[in-house]
Amino acid sequence: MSTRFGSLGNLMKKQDLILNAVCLLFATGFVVMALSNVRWAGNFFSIDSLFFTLVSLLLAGIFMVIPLLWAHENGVLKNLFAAEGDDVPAEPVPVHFAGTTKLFLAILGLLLVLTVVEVLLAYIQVPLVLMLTILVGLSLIKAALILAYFMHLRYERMSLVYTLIPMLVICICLLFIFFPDGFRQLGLRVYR
Amino acid sequence: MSTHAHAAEPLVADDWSGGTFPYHIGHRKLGMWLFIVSDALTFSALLIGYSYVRVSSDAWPAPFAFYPSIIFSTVMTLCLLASSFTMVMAVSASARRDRRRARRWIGATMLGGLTFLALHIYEWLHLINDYGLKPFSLPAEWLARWPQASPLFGATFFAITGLHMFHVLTGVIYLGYIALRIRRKTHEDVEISGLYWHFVDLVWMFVFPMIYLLSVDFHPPGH
Amino acid sequence: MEEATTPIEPSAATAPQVVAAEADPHAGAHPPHGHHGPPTGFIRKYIFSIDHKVIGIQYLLLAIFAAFVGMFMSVLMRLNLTWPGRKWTILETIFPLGAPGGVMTPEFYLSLVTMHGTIMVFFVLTTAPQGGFGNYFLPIQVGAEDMAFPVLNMLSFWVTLVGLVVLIAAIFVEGSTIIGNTDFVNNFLGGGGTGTLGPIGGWTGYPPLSALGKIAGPGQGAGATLWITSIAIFCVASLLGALNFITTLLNMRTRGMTLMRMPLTCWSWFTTAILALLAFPVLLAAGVLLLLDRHAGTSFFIPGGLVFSDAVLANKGGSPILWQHLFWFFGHPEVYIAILPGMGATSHILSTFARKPVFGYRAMVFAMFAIGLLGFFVWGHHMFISGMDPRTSIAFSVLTLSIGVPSAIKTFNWLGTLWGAKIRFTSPMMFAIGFVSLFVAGGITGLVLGQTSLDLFIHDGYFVLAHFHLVMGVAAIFGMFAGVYFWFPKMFGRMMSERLGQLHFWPTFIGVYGIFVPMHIMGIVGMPRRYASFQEYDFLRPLDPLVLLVTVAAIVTAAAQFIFLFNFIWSIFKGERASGNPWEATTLEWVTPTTPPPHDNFGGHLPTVYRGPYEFAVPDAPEDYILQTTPDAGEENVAAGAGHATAGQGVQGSSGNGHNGQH
Repeated sequence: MSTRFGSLGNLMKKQDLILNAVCLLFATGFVVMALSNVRWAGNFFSIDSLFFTLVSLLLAGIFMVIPLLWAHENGVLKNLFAAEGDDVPAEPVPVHFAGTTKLFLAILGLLLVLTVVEVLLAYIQVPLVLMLTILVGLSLIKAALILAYFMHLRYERMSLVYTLIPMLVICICLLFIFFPDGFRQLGLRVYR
Repeated sequence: MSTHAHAAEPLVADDWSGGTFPYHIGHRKLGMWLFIVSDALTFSALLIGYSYVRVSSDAWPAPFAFYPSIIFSTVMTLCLLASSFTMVMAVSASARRDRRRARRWIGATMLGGLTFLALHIYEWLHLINDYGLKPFSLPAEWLARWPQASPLFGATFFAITGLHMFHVLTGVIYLGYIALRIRRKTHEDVEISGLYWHFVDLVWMFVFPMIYLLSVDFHPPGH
Repeated sequence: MEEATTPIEPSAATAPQVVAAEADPHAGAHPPHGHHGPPTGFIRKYIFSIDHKVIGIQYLLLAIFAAFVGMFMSVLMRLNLTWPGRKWTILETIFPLGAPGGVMTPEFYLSLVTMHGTIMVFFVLTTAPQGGFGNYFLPIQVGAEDMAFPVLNMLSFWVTLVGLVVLIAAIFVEGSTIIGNTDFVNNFLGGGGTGTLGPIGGWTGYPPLSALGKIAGPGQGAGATLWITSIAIFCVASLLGALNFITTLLNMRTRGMTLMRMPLTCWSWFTTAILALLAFPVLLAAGVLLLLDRHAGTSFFIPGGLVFSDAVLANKGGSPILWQHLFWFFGHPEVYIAILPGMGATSHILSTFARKPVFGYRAMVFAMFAIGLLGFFVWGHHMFISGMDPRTSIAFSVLTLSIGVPSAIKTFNWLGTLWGAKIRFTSPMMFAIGFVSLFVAGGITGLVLGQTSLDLFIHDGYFVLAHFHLVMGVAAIFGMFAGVYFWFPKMFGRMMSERLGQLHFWPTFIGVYGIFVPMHIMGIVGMPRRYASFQEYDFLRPLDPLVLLVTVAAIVTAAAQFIFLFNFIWSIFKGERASGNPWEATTLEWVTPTTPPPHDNFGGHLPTVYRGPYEFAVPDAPEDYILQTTPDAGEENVAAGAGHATAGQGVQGSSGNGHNGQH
């Protein structure tokens, strides 16, 4: 009756996948541990080392049982690539995607021009502080272009912009408070 | 049931009164946006940390000659920008339900990403093998040119670009997964993968100037 | 094709929404559970569950386990401080290396300090109020079937558990020579087996000691590696959890659940999630850099010229202060991550048992957001003695003190809620009142510590210890206790024993004041933090009776927690059966069709909300409370069959959640 429940139904499958992934991860981890032991143990044929290898492999084997059983039951590979003729899941919200190829090409062009300008600055050897200022400014413009057009933020609700951007901007601005301390360090250093 | 479904109608007056998506975007897209905000802060913290150690150092090496290093990294930048464009075309195609074309555009995007990765790894190997740059120390000849230089150059370079490379790699795998199963994916899925990819591109728009362009060697020894 | 079957979104923001239930011809054609029922297998139902309720309980149990481990460590610390050099035979059995002959070594004590702090802050104060109660009740209180990303939710929990396991592994790796001296530990983790319980650097892990590896001291090898790895893993888990919470709250509110109709608990979880989303990535970055310092030979946090064992280290160029900045940029919001859910739960519970609406609901919401926002601006007050620029520290000081304003708004609103009320002194209410008391008592000293000039003298002493334990530790834990007693009937379908609850409250409440009030005095006298023993300091000798008093209080308090543990476990199986709404509360978790709620919370029919969350003692109402799902008188005729106080009340409109997808 709803994709939400439908998706919960799919999630049961996903749950299997997750369980298997977790088991595989652990199994791989233990195999890696055993292998690393072989590589770095020094004397491999010591009691410690053999015990460690044995326990690791045993644990890896135990963790492999669940994925193997599952793969046996389901024929995983057959399932993975079956693409044709499947039900396409419905969109949660109606699709709307504004912007034309021309617009995106224009944005790409603008980004390329700005990049070239940045590189040119490096070529003509602008003093560092001025360079930094211009570079940060240009990068912000580029970031804004990517956000607005490529990431489509310009066509989303303004409320989304108001939600996301201020928290990011505030936090990043706050990080700048580190710098007074950074400059202070310069005067503190005894060892050069 | 449907007889009293009218009851709530006056209540659902606007986007924020519940029972609707306030931003008109689905869960996963909102989740991806929030993840991007969070990940952006990780990168911000790293870049600010880099700036911090740079301003608190007596000297900072500027080893990248305009040719070939900067040109090389510019090409890498162009790769990423181009792949961002192809990604937006993929999303656009998917919005028109043209899954075949969407898959092709995603393929092109992955190609851009892989080129970037290959070039970047080449660059890393070049710096490590030919110059002798290490995460914990500077090559001897750099130390001779910049005697007070901080050994953190290599550390910041490898940490920041390494984390970015990790994101690119994740992105390529993610896009590959989407392309492989595009017939089972909604437009929203494609769009979300696009958001992630553009974010990776966006981060590079800061990494490239901060790491490369601010360390340009104005007087390379050969000249 | 798909446009036709997707729910129709309003084209303009002001237009009344066409509810999908009518637009969709298939509505009602399927039974509520559609394609599946709740999971049946044990593993899917209780272990790898994607049900937010099970995950919430898993988080809660994890936190209770971690809390008892942390509490045990704190008792050991008190024993060492009060009777230094005394033999505890049992300790020798448990920790042959850390307490040779039954006497704790100073390193062992320091590792206790570290592990107690880390376990308590990360795995108790951050997981239980947010991961535990938030997971369980946020979707129910906003009227959703589950979290927005159930699988991600499950992953968050399991990643958190991995984090805890990695942290606990530090105990074994450092505490045992057999494990600690294996090749694996030596090659990959930096060497262990030093007879501590983990790193000795404190929960803040200040470099350069934490960045240097084994040479920096016992426990700083493998123990510190595992410690920082655990923190990084925890960061990832919290990030995933936070974005899940925010998405759920914004996108999945049921019809009529406007933002200003959400219970204050939801607001507090929302604020907390935003803080976690923005604070944890910074710690993640810092953790990555610290790991690189430890294992890749970099020196982000290691200054030049450090001498160890008569040798000058090769590292140079880094700055330990950078770690402090990055850490506390996370660390201060973390304090609010711990306390804000407690504030939400307290507001909720005070209102319920005072049978009055929350005084100044809007003010409470804004105060909560103000606290969250200001929480990001003040991390510098942890670093006054790092020698920061006095101008910066004045700014931090002023901002710190300004947090007192929203905090005071909250406090006075709580008092306003209690004013003139006919209070029902149940055990959740006792703990909620205890929260207010502890929050005020601990918060007041924050105003002292927020001033640079005073902080310079009492920093790193017992005054600070007392301050943050009261306000962030104990108050938050009181919030958790209040939450457990309050929501237990809904979570397990049985009541907790009221008598045992009161018996738990009084020793705990008096005990924590007995522990932390004397600590203020010790701090002002000059007792420093993180010292294993004070025998050498004559000026501290007169404090000995106080030290003993604190220890006795600590042991009494710790013992009282076993009453809670017993009550908790006993009530799960043997408690009195709870009705659907035993506290006569108003919010959505009390209208679920069964108790505990079914797999999809509302039996397939999401409720519709008609009113605010705290409508108690409304004049002319038949009872002294009105559920959120009760329509107004004018709407009564349409909401047919909405009998009063029945479980299914107000559940109308077939799955009437517009975004719920009638495809």
